[in-house]
Amino acid sequence: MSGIAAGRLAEERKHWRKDHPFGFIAKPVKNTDGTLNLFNWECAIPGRKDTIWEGGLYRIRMLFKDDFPSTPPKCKFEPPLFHPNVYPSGTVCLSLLDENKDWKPSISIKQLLIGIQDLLNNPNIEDPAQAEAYQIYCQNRAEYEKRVKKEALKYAAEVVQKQMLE
Amino acid sequence: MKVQLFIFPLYFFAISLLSQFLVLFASFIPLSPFIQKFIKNLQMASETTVPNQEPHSSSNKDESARFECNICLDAAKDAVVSLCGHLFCWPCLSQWLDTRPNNQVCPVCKSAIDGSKVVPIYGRGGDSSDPREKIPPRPKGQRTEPPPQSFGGFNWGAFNDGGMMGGGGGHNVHFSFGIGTVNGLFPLMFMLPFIQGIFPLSFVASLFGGLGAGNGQNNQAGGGGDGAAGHEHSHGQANRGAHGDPAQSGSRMAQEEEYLSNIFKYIGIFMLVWLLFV
Repeated sequence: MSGIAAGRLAEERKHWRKDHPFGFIAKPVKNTDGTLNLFNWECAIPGRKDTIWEGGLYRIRMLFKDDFPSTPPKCKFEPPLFHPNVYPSGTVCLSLLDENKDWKPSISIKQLLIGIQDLLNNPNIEDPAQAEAYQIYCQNRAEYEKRVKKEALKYAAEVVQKQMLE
Repeated sequence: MKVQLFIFPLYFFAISLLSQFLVLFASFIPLSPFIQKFIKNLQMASETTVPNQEPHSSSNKDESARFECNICLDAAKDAVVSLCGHLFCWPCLSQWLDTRPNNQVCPVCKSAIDGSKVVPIYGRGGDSSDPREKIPPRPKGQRTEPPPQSFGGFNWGAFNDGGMMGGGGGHNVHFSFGIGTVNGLFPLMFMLPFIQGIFPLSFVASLFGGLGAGNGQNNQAGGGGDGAAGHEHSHGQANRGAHGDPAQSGSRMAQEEEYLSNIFKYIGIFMLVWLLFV
């Protein structure tokens, strides 16, 4: 039943090209023969203004399965991000992305990316995914903010945009 | 006799009440309110879209999106709408429901959803011939008949069913046949209430019935007991072949039918009493 998935992803792309939130990037990867692989999207989420994440553009890959949108895509920061709810592998831990929690088929890629952007500045301490960011966040907030700002500089928007165009 | 006279109108009252209740329930049960609401919404939607389209095409995007499936984001094919009001292609929705049989929720608002209770939408240009292999067929629309124009017919049916005969009157007739074989006094039939007062068997039967049930059923239950007793008697008579009454077999069948229909009536009345007192 990948018919629904492919059709839906084509629609998602159409919608995104028509209109998408400022600063965000989302595009399906190209196969070697030049065709689009709609099941693998390269995206980027900008840090929200007036937060410690501002200025950074964080690359994230979305991997869709054949039964999308019955199941959520796997969202993975590449490279892995310093954040309490991001696994060391880079995978995002978010109820919205959990098939058994808040995922529902009507959530669009746009909504997911905005949801993840929101998670950046509002980590969920109930559900930590990596030890380092979680411990620093809980024990030393100043140190945590310093680390995050370093990340924002490391993934400066202009630099990442150029990388993605290559 | 006094008791019977007293209960006779009660029986009438109970039956008419029951029938009215039935009609009431019949008009409550169907889903028509949902469908009406849905149709109203559709009408409202179409009313609001007409002026919106005229100003200019900037709102066109939203208008077309209004009828997009919430799962594939394309124009809904084989459109169905959930009772919570969300539009889907039936193939999309059925796949979603198939993936989680024990957690059937709306893909938009997560309210409980039942695949068999979604409403299909039949537009004017809809082609119902598209092949739907693999996926279960789209559920049928839920048609409910409009409430009857007058429920007088229903009332009369209930009365004719035995109520016209006067409570347990029908059974008393049969009972008298039974007596007739014993006493050879056919005219006794016309003194039924009297017999019922005197004859011990019927007295016991009606007492039994009266003990077993509340006041409303008293008469009916007693009549039922009488009917059963009469049945036994006439049965024995047929076996002996003493009186080859040609109407006997017919009356026996009618008796059985009446007996059965009365059982249902008692159940109905019991429910009524239960509804009123519990």
